[in-house]
Amino acid sequence: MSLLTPNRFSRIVNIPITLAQTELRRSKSIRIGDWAVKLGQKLQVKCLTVHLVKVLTPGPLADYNNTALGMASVGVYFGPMMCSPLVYASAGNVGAFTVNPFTTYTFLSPGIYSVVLSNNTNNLDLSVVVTGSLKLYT
Amino acid sequence: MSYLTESKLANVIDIPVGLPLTELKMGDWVIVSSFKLISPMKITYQHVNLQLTSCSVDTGLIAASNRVFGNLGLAYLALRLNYSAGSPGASGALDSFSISALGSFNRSGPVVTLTTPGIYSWIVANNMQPSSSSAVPTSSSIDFKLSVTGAARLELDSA
Repeated sequence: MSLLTPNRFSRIVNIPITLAQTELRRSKSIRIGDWAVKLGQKLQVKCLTVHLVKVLTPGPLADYNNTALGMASVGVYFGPMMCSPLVYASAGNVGAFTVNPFTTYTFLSPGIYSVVLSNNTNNLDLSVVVTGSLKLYT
Repeated sequence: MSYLTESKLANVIDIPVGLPLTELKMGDWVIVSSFKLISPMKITYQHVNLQLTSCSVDTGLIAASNRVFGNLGLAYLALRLNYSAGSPGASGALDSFSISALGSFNRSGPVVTLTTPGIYSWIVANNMQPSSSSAVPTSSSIDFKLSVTGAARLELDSA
């Protein structure tokens, strides 16, 4: 057990990830935040919540681009490519969904990490809120 | 007095409650931040800043009858549990912070401690409505440009 010194404490930062209620059109994505991790730094994700407030398009059943990601998902991506998220929370229906906060996702590789919110349906517009925090150790 | 350890600090996360400058139409509201709390987490909420930058009408003309809820000022930020729909100013909010003039206003207390599992939402609302007894014509929309800046502290292990 190591006690924190003021010097150590000053090098631990919470980076806010926030997107207030926003209309997210079908198949679109929004980049909410980016952070460049440098050599020797550590980025941890414990808190990332996507809140699907309502489905704005009445009627049709969801036509998914990617079934595993639900209607909407928010994830942390590495680099410029929109491939698999390193960690994500997905909303399959209306409500709030979060990454498992009791599992720590730690990233050490230098590079740019992005938080991206996606609408994974072809036919539904959504109203979505994202709230989270990344912890950076420098 | 217990000392702070690195492992303890790793379980303490500041959740943002923030909205960039946004135009909020008369009577409208928007969810600023949401968080799903599960046992044994704990959230403490104390500090938030609400800035009302501009109004589409002269605020001196706004009458008490223009307010949807008489005690919630021009605009307010409400904290609600398991919010799904409906006016956020209705009874049942866990906390509310209202402003009654243009400018920047800070909520610095009391501390709200939350441990009940559920979905917590911070909602900012325009508390205005048309009124025939007001100097503001009923054809005019009382819109605000406002921003919210704040944070709540999440402790993953409340012990």
